[in-house]
Amino acid sequence: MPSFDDLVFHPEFEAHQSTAGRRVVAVGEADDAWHGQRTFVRNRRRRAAQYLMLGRTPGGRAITVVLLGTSIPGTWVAYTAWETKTGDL
Amino acid sequence: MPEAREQTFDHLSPEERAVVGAPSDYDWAGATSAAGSARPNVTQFSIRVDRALLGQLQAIARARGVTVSDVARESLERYVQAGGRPAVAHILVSFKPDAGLLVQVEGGRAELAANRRTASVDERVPAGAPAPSTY
Repeated sequence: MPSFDDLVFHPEFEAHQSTAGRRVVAVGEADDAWHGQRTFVRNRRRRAAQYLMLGRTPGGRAITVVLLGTSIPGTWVAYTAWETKTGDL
Repeated sequence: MPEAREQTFDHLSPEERAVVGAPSDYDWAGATSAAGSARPNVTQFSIRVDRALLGQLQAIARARGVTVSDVARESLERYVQAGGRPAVAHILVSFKPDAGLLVQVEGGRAELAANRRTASVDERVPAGAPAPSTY
């Protein structure tokens, strides 16, 4: 299990979501979830997205955030996110 | 936190799917939970700017002996402090013989010298002369 120390947001983090037509998980909400109780799901394949982070915003929204690895150990890039459907947690 | 269950990715765009992959790619059963670290006072995010703007930021940073990040952060702080206005408020300094020296800031107006006796600049303008509207 790698360390999850720092999170950096992709420039199009919110745009990726709006382009797909979803209700946007804002940068601030994902950052709040990052600093709360969170669950990491590992991608078993060699893809850019190495982990999904499941967490909750202060408002109680369950969200899933896609994490890309970086060259800096412990630092991750939040690529996009979505509201986790009820039952997925 | 409850155990994570496999999700559907139906709501992702094709571009997102190319990055994220398929639900079956993920080890849902092996999900691990942890509390996040204490929240620091900073959050990192990146922004996309065109080369011209980056060049201008670099020029300002070099001239001031600071980093591009310092310049960008300071400009963002000013933007926020200005209530989201995109630039420093436009300031007009004008003079009217009957009103004195006026400093007009976008969205506001301050009258520094309300009458001829207190407006020293007023003495240089003969009565009846056309008043310069803007200096």
